Amino acid sequence: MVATGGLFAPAEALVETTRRIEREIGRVIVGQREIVRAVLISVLAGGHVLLEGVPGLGKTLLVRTLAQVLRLEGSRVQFTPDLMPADITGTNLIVDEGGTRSFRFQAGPLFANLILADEINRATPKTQSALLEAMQERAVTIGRTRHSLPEPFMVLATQNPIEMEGTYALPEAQLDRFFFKLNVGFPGEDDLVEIATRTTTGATALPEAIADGDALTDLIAMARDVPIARAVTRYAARIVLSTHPGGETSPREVKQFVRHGASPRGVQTLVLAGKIRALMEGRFNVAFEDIRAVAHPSLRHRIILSYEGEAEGMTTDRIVDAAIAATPEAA
Amino acid sequence: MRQIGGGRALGEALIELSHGARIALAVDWMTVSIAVGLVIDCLMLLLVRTRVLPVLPAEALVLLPGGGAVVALVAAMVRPLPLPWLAREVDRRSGLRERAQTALETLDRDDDLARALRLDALTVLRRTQPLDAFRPRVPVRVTLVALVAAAIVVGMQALVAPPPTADTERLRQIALGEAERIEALADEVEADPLLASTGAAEMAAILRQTAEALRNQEMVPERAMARVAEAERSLTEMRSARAFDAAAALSRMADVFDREAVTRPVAHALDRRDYARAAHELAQLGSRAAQASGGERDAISEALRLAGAATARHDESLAQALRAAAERARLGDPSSTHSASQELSRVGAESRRQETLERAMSQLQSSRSTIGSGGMDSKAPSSSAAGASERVAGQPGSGGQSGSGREDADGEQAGAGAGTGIASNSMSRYDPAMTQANQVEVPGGDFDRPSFSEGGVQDPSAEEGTVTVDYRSVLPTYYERATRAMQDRYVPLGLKELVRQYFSSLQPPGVG
Repeated sequence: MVATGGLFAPAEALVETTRRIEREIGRVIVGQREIVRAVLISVLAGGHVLLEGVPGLGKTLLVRTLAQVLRLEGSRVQFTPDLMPADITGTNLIVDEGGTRSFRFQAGPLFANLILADEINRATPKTQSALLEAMQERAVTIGRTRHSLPEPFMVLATQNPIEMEGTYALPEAQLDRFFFKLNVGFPGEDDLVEIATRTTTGATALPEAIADGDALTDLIAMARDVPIARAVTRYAARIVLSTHPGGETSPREVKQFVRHGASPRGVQTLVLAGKIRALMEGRFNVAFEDIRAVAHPSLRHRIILSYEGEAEGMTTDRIVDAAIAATPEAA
Repeated sequence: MRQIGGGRALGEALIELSHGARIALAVDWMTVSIAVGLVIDCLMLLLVRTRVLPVLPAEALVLLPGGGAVVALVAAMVRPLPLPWLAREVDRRSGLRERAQTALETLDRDDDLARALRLDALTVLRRTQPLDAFRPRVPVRVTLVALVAAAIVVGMQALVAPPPTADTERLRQIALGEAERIEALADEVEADPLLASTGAAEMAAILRQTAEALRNQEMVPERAMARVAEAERSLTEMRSARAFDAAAALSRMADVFDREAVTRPVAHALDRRDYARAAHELAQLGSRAAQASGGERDAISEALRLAGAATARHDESLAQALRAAAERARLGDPSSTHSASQELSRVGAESRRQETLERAMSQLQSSRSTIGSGGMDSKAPSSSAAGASERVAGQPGSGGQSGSGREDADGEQAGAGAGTGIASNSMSRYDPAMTQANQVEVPGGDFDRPSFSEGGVQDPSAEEGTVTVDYRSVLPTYYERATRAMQDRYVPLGLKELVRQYFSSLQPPGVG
């Protein structure tokens, strides 16, 4: 980043804050830098994240650390088939106060800033819908009363790609509500050694709180103001169009293996995520490379493969790769 | 702060970089122009090869790529460069990650991020050198295309022979014409019964092969001329030294027989080179002597004896036969001249073979000359072609040609000075009627008014370094040599008279 010599302190502070948050999380979370960065981008965008990976990869630790660094209230819900909507949203309880009985709302675990919805695909669609509705509306309705969720409100849902028996896959429409979908990969040898070292000794790294909810809200607001050139916005739009089998510039893979391309939320996500990534890279503008960098987590869960695509073992990541390759920067 | 990050400063910074942009554009466009020009050159050369286009000069091939490069240079220098374009190119070429174009688009914004971006972009742009931002880079692929195209153009120009032009087409026609003439001569040779026993078939075969080669040759003058020269060498090896003696013997025999009316038919047949007729007339002479009176028989016998004496120097066998015929004719033997007649046929055939050989060589020489001159001068007329229509089958060549290629004891070209004015290279055949016409055309008046000086006086108009000699001092020598040549070689009787008249006209007044 080119220093502005303190002339634009808010902008520089924003950049510096994002870097410090990333650095502080990195003190606790071993490896997974891309995941950490993506989660942070999603948090700064005020979006929700769907993490897909096998158990034991530090997903819960990541959410807890993030809550500590951002000084947010976090909660964790383990989704099971018998979990009911009221179990997460809360319910009205009859309370007896001085001989007078009345209903009092008992808030569920959703009433927190940072929610870890663990193994979301094990809950019934009814419970999933309750969660996804809260994610979209940022409020829950109990009886006739609408209860707003605290700001900022973010859900980090996880799902296990194995042990699919007895699970309820999320509908595509509900997947679209997640800002990012992240594939949490298995750590490498060095990272495993580091994890073993850190977790088998008495010393535990404690992250420092960098910001609080208000500061985070300000960061989210400012991040949306990052300038972006029209050419870059058009580039993002063309990439999304290229994921549609009927698109003029769609590559062969898209035409052959895709049933539905990314929704307009895909463009919104690309641009917003691009803005935040630019800030984290120390720039005040969005570059083409920012769009490309956030394309996979932004679009992979918004593309629906055809039967042929699934039969051929095609993945949405490869479709995104093909769409990027088929889209020139200049129109 | 607004001034620092304002649009004006940003614009000025971009314009500073535009100089580099123009240079980079010029290099880029010039390379493309040259490549396109060379590719078009390749296509044009291809069209030239397929005769769709005429042959192009080398300058025309340089014009397209060279002119294109100049146009590209000028266009790069004068083309307006809009700021958005400049910003986009600076971003792209310098890896500024869309800073410049985004900053340019946020001039209407006054928030912290927009201003920070403009200051950031301005700082980066001011640190950037024009030639760093727009480093002139030759496009590799285009350059490769240009190099390949240039190699093809050079190869097609240098290695591949040019396509047939109007000149080569004309040359082809000339060669075909010469082939036709040579073929016609071969036909004549084969058709002549007198030549049947003299190896004429071999001569005809050489001529036919040459004609065929001229038809099939790639029309390169050098190749065609080499092929004709090779045939000339083959024919030269077929020449016989005895053939010249045969011609001389027949000439002297004709001279002798021309003196007596009774033997004149033989002389006239010899003069026409109709040797078969001459042999027949000679055979008849014996019968005529047997039936003639004593005086006429003696005249015939004497003519035969003189003919034997005249030919003894050149052909002993013929001379003996003539002498024997003279003896037997004097005794009234009707078959006295049969043996001499057979000898005359033999010598005539020998002479005819040599004449034909000379004609063939002359034709080949003429063809070679025609092809050679046709390849260099498109306007030069073909003397051979002009003369071809004048040929008369079975007629001998001109006097000028008859002695060509042989030198006498003095080393002078035989037949020199005895020419009739008919071009030696033309294939005009000897024709008595034509000879008469030529005789008439000789400017006899000039003989009375010689233009050269007399009395050894130096001609003031004479070119420096030349010597003028009194012709009276050399005339007897030339006349003696001409006379000897007419005796030793065959010269048509009419032409002998012409030569005599010529020298008579040169005699100074008062000299008999």
